[in-house]
Amino acid sequence: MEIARTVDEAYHACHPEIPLEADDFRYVDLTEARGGFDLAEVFSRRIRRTPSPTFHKQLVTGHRGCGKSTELKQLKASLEKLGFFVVYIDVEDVLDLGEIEYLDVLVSIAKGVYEKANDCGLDVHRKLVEELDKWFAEKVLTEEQRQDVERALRAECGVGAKVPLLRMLAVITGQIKSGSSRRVEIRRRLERELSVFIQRLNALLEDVQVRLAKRGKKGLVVIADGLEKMHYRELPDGQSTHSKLFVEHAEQLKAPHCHIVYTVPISLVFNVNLGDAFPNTDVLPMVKVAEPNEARTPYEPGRKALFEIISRRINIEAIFENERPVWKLVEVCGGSVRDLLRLVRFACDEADEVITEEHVERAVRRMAREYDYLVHEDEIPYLKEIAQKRRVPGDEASARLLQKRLVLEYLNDERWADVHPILRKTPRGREILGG
Amino acid sequence: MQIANCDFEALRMLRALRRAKGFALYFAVCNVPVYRAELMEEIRRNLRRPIVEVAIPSDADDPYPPIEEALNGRTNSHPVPEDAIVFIYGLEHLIPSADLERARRTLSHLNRKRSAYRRLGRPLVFWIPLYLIPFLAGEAPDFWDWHSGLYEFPLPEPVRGEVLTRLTEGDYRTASALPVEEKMEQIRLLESLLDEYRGDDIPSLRARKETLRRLGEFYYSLGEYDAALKSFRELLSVTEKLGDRAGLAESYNNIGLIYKAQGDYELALEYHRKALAIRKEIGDRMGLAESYNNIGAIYYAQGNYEWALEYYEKALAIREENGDRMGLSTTYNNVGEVYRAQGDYGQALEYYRKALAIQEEIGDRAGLATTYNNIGEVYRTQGDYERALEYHRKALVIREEVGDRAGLAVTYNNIGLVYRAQGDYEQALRYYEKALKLFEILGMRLEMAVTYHNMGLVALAQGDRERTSEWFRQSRDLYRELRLEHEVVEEEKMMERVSGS
Repeated sequence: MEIARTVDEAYHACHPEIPLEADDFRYVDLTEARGGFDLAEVFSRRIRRTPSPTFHKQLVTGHRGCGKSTELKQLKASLEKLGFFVVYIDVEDVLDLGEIEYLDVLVSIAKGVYEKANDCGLDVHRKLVEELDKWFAEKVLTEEQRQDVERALRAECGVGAKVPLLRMLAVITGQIKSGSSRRVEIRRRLERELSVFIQRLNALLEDVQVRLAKRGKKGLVVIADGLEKMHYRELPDGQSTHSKLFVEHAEQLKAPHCHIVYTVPISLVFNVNLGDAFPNTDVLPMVKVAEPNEARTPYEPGRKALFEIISRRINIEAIFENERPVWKLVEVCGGSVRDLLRLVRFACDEADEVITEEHVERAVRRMAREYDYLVHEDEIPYLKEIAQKRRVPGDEASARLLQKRLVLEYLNDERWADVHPILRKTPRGREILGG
Repeated sequence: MQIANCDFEALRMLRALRRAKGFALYFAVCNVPVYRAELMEEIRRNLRRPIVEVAIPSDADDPYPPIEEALNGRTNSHPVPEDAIVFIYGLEHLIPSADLERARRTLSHLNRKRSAYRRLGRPLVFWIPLYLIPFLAGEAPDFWDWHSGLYEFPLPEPVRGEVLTRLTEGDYRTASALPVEEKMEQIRLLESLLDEYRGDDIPSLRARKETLRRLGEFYYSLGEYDAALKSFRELLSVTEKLGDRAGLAESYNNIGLIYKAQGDYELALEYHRKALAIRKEIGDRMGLAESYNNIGAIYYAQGNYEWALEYYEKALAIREENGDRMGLSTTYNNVGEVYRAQGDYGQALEYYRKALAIQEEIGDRAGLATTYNNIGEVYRTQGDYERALEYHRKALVIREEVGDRAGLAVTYNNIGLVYRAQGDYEQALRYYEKALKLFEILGMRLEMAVTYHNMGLVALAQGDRERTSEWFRQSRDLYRELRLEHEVVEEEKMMERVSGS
C-alpha cells in the first residue's frame, strides 16, 4: 500500500476496524509509548522459559481498540521466528460469542491445531486421528448428526474426504456456532465424557508436538483471540458469564497440553479470583499521551509514536495544512489507536483537498459529542474521582467506564488511569476534569 | 426540499459515502421517519452512487439475516450493484427503550456478528434515533467501535414544531383510544422527540412538558405503570423548572392515578391532595373537578361510599357549570358505580344511561367501553345473564380494538363472573385465567387478588379442595402485600372453610 497523498486516499488508509498483519510496514513499535510494555517480547520470553513438560498459560486484556490483535499478530510472528508452531484462532469467526462455553473453546483449539498441522503436512498419527474421529462420532454426535456428516463426506471428494477428522471438527464447531438445539446436545455429551475428551485432545496435541520436534520446531502455541468480546450477562447464581468461563472453568481452559494465550474481557481484571486461576494475566496499556501528574505533562515518546502511526499511512505534508492539527489529534485520542484513526476519518469528512486546523477542531468536537452521549449522569462522580486520583476503583461502575472507554488505563511502573481527554472538549467534561 | 440547518452534516456524510470502499460502518441519526425519508432523497440526489435500502422487519431479533438476504439473496431479481451503499432502517423497532430484554437480544446479535457484517464488504449506514447511541455503545460495544462516522440530523424548524404539535394534540381520551400498534409507534416518536428538545431554555422545557405528558399517558393506558411513573416524575421536574403551577398539579394528579392503579391508595390520596391544593390556590376549576372526581374514586375503591358520593357531587357541580361533557360522563359513570355497589340498581342504570348518551354523542370509545362494562355488571347482579354477556362483549370489542389491556382484563374477569353464575365453571376459569395473565403483566395486584378469589370460589363449587385453598392463599398473599387487612382475614376464613369441611 502506498502512502496516502490525497484526502480520498487518507480516508482509505485509516480503518478503525482492521488489525495490522505482522509484516505490515505501517506497524509502529509502541513498547516505549505504552510505558515500556512489549507484549510480544514478554510473552515469548515467558513461553521460552517454561520448562518442559509444563506449558505456559497466559491471559491478556486491554481496551477495545488498543491494538491487542495487532500485538498478538506480532507475538505470533516473533514466536515463529524463534521456531515455534503457532496456531492463531480468531474465536469470533469460529464460535458464537453470545453463548460461549469452555467446551466450545476446547473444541475450537482441537480444530485450529489439527487444521494447521494438516495444512503443514504434519502426518499426525493415523490411528490416533481415526480413534478421535470415531470417538466423536460415537460419543458426541447424535444419530441424525452422524448421518449428516456421512452424507457430507460422500458428497465431497476433496481434502475433506481424505481427512475425516477435519470434517468432523468443522461439523461440531459449526453446530456449536449455529446455536441450534444440537449445540446443547453436543455440549451435554462432551461434558459427560469430559475427562476422556481432554485426554484425547491432549493425545492429539502431544502427537503434533512430537512431530514438530522431529522437524526441529520448538513447541506448540495457541493464541485464542477475540474471547474478550464474549457477551456479558449476569447468571442466576450471581456470577457473570465472564467469571463462569475464566474463573469457574479455569482448570479446563488450562488443561490442553500446549502453550496458550487467551484474550479476556477487561472487566475481569477486577475479579479477585482470576489471579489464583491464571497467575499470568496482563493488561495491554493504552499508549500514554500524558503523565499522571497534576499538569498532565505531555509524554513525548507516546505522542511521537502516535504521530508516526499517522505518518506511516499519510503523507502529512501533502494533506494537512501543517503538522499542528496532527499533533492535536494525537493529544485528544488519549492513546486509543482506534480513536486516532477514526478522528482522521472524521477530519476527512470536513475536507475536500486539504485538512486545516479548523477541520480538525470540528472533527474533535464531533467525536467529543459522541463520547458525551455515553456519559450517564450517575457516572459523573466516578469520573471526577478517577480524574483526580488517576486510579480506577475495582467496582462494577468503573468496569463499565473502562468498557465504554470513558476511562483509559495506562502504565508507568504501575497501572494508572485517567478520563478520556476528548471529554475535555465538552462542557460536562470540563466540569469533570476541572478546566 | 431543503436540508435546513443540516447542510454541513449532509455534506460530511456525502463525502464519506463517496469515499467509502468495501466495508465501512456509519450511523445516521434522525429521530423522525418522515424527515428521514426527505433527507434520504436529498442524499440520493447528490450521491452519484446507487443506494440499496433495507428495512428490517420489526418482528426480527437479529438484523443480520434480512440484510444479508437483501444483499446476497437468491430471490433478488436484480443483483445489488458493486458500488452500492446500503441504507438500513428499523433498528429502533428491535431495540425498544421500554423492553430491555428484547433490546439486549438484538444488541448481542449485533455485537458478536460484527465480522459477518464486515464480510458483507459494503458501506453500511444504519439510520437510528438518538436514544439508540448509548444502547449501541454500551451493549454492542465491539460493533459500535468499528464505526467510521456518525451523522446527526436534528429536525429543522418548522418541522420539529409540526411534529411536536401532531404528536401531542388531543387529550387523554383520544390518545388512549388508539390501537396498540399506533400507541407503540407514537411512544417511539415521542421518546425520540425528547432528544430534539434537550436544552433547559423555556421553549425546550415547554416542548418536553407536552411530550412527557403524552408519553406518560400512553404508558398509563397500556398498563406500563413503571414507565408511566418515570415519565410523570420527569414531567414534575420540568413543570417545577418552568414554575408552571397548573402543570405541577397535573403531574401530582397523574402520579396519583398510577399509585391508585397499583393499589397504593394512601400514596395516591397524598398526591391527589397535593394537586387539589395547588388547583384551589390558582383557581383552576376544571382541574379542581378532576381532583374531586379522582379522590372520590379512591374512596369508592376503599368502600367509603358516602365520602365518594360527596366528592363526586363536588365534581359534578363544577362540570355542569362548565359544560364539561366528557368530564360529566366520567363522573356520572362513577356515581352509577357507587349506587351499584350499594345495590340501588335503578339509580345506577339511570346514571350509566346519562353517561352513555354523552359518550355516544361525542364518540368517546374508551368511555363507552367502561359504561358497557358497568351496565353488564348490573345485569349480571340482577341475574339477566344474556344481557350481561351482551354488554360485556360490546366492551370487549372496543377494548381489544384500542389495546386497553387493563380494561380487557377487567372485562375477562367479569365475563368469568357471568359464566360462574350460570354454572359453566370451565368457561369461567378460562376467562379468569385470561384476566389474571393480563393483570400480572400490568402489575395490577389488587385485581389479581380479586381474580384469584373468584377462581377460588369456582374451585370451591367444583369441590376441588386443593385448588380452592391454593387460590384463596394466593389471593390472601396479595392482599397482605397490599396491606388490606380486612381482605386478608376474609381470605383466611375462606381457607379455613375448605380445610375445616
